[in-house]
Amino acid sequence: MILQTVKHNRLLLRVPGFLFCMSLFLLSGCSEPAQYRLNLVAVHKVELANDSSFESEHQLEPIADILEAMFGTPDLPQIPPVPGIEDVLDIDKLYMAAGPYGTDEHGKAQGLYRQHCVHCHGISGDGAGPTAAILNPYPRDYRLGKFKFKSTASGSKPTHGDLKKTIENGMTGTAMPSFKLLDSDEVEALVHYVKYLSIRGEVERYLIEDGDQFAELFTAVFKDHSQLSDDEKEEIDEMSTEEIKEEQETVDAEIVYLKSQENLVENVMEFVLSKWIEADDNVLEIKPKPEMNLKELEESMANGRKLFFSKDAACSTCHGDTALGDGQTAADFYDDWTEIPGGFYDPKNPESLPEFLALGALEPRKLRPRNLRQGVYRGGRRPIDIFWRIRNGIDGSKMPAAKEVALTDEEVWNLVDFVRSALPYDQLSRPLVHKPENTKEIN
Amino acid sequence: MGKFWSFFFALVPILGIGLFVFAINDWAPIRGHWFPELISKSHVIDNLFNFIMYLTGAVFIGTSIVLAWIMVKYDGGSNKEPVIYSHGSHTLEVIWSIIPAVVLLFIAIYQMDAWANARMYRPTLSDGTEMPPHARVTGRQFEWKIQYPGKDGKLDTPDDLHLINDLHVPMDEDIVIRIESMDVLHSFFLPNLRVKQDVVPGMQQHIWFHAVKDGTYDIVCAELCGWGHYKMKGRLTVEPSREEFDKWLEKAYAEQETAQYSLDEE
Repeated sequence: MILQTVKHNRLLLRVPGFLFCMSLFLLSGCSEPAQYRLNLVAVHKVELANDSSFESEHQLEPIADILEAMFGTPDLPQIPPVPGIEDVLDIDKLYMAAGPYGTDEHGKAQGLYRQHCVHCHGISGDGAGPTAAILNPYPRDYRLGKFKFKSTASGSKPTHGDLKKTIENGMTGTAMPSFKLLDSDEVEALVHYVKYLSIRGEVERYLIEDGDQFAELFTAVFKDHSQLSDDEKEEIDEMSTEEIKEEQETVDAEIVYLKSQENLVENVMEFVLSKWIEADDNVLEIKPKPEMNLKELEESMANGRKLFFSKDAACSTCHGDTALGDGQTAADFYDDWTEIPGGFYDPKNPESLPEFLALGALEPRKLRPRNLRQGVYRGGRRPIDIFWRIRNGIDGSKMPAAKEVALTDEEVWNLVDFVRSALPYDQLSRPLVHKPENTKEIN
Repeated sequence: MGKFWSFFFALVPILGIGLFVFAINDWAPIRGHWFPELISKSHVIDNLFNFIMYLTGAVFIGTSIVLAWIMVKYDGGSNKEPVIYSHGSHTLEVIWSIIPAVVLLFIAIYQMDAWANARMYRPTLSDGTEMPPHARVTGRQFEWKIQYPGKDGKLDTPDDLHLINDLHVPMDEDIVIRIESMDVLHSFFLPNLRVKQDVVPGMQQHIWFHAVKDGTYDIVCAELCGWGHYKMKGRLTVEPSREEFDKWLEKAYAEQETAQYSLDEE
């Protein structure tokens, strides 16, 4: 009898537990609408550099408010009314790409970004969606505003067409698949949304990192004593109560200015948007590649081989004597999304890394020069694609742009011919022996 | 069992059959759930499928009716007749052994040809040698890489055409495709041609088909290959003739070899 009661009691305990779990499960279906995440990695980087933590009410919250007022939410995007922005972003296309996945009353697809992109690139375009950590290379973090494969000069933004080509063809050799089968207006919508997230992310970084924006506001006057760094403590301790009050008013006034249209349009958006508007002017046009018969092609390839090892082009220093991508000798090569100043990681001071990982940054991975012998061309295999890679370099990576004084157009074509046609194939199933440098996976 | 339960259980086969009737006739609300349009020269897969479906369908309807009838007639609650024990019927047993055996034998013989044609008798050239692959399709998480041998007919030479998710074939010809995988198990599925073959890493396999209708159709992956499996969709374009195909190939190859760029053309 006693035993039975005990059993009975346990059951009684289990039923509410079960109901609670079920209700949690059901409620999770109607969770809050999606929110952009603040770029806390950039915030922490500035905090470390300035030895001063961001104050929530006077730094983090105003930044989030500004961003929402300018760009809206993931469900309802907005375009800040800045002259020239209509050439870069189209609000109707953004509506198509934003919001939860579904179809509108005409059966047209909506929420395309969340259907196709979000699980890798993340709701904020931070390249840290749920599947990001298992991919190599990591998905692109748009917020730096850098894109690798484009037709424009080094340091410029990609054109609309460049981004469209990447979405349509995917990036072979990475986890980015091809979206060729989407309707062309769906691809257009996604291109606009990528640009939108990129511009939004750049504005966010500018507000966080720029010395004339929120980075160096003297918000110590609002902080709890426990939040202050040693330098700040010294400063605050020397101030009288009145001086602190005065300083608080100054900071408040500065925040009012930072939030004003004047600052946002003339400083922030001007800084970010102008490069996107100029992108089309920075396209590198390519004169036709000279026609060649077989003998001339062989000569061109031989010349390309010479250049590959030469001092001017110096391809072999990174790509290796055998072009297997094993020539790089510097141990600490990281891309711009990882390494300071664009990223968060300082290879010489790795001890702060765990703090950034806790904030959602992905484990740094060493940059690897491309193995040129697998026939895998991430940015496209057309001769002009490889021409652009050599002439313009690859933004964000260590691949430099070849200046015309160093390499003439003809010499670049020689290298293109060498890379495309002269290198023996390195079978994936039976890889050649690579130098230890790159066979040793770091991270 | 009571009448209520007898009818309740009879609802299962009735609903099941209804589902098929609606789907086959493409009636609302179950539209577009039957076979996609058949564009293969050979109808053998559809014939086999239909034969087996109608045969098992007839048996299913018969047994369902008998089952429901027995449940009503021999309802324990209302039936007061004494129980009868019987030894069974020799004749009946012979009949229900021989008929299925004949049917199974028929299916076994009929499918042998279908299987051999799909898996063993690779199409040959006029001189009797095996037909070389029209293209190599490589499954990769999560896309189909497609490589055409180009003018020289050989794969892995500089005149190859590399595309993604875009398979073009001419109409009214035997086409052999080599399928491979770069990473994990995929399954290359052409629903309109009734061709489906697992793509196994490390194996070189060939499939073949003969399309008789031009247009664009789906290529899908039919084996769960990872989190992006649903994205692994391609497009099969059947060109109306060999000339059209050659024209397309030349154009696509020229595009791949683009060696100049000026803004005016864009």
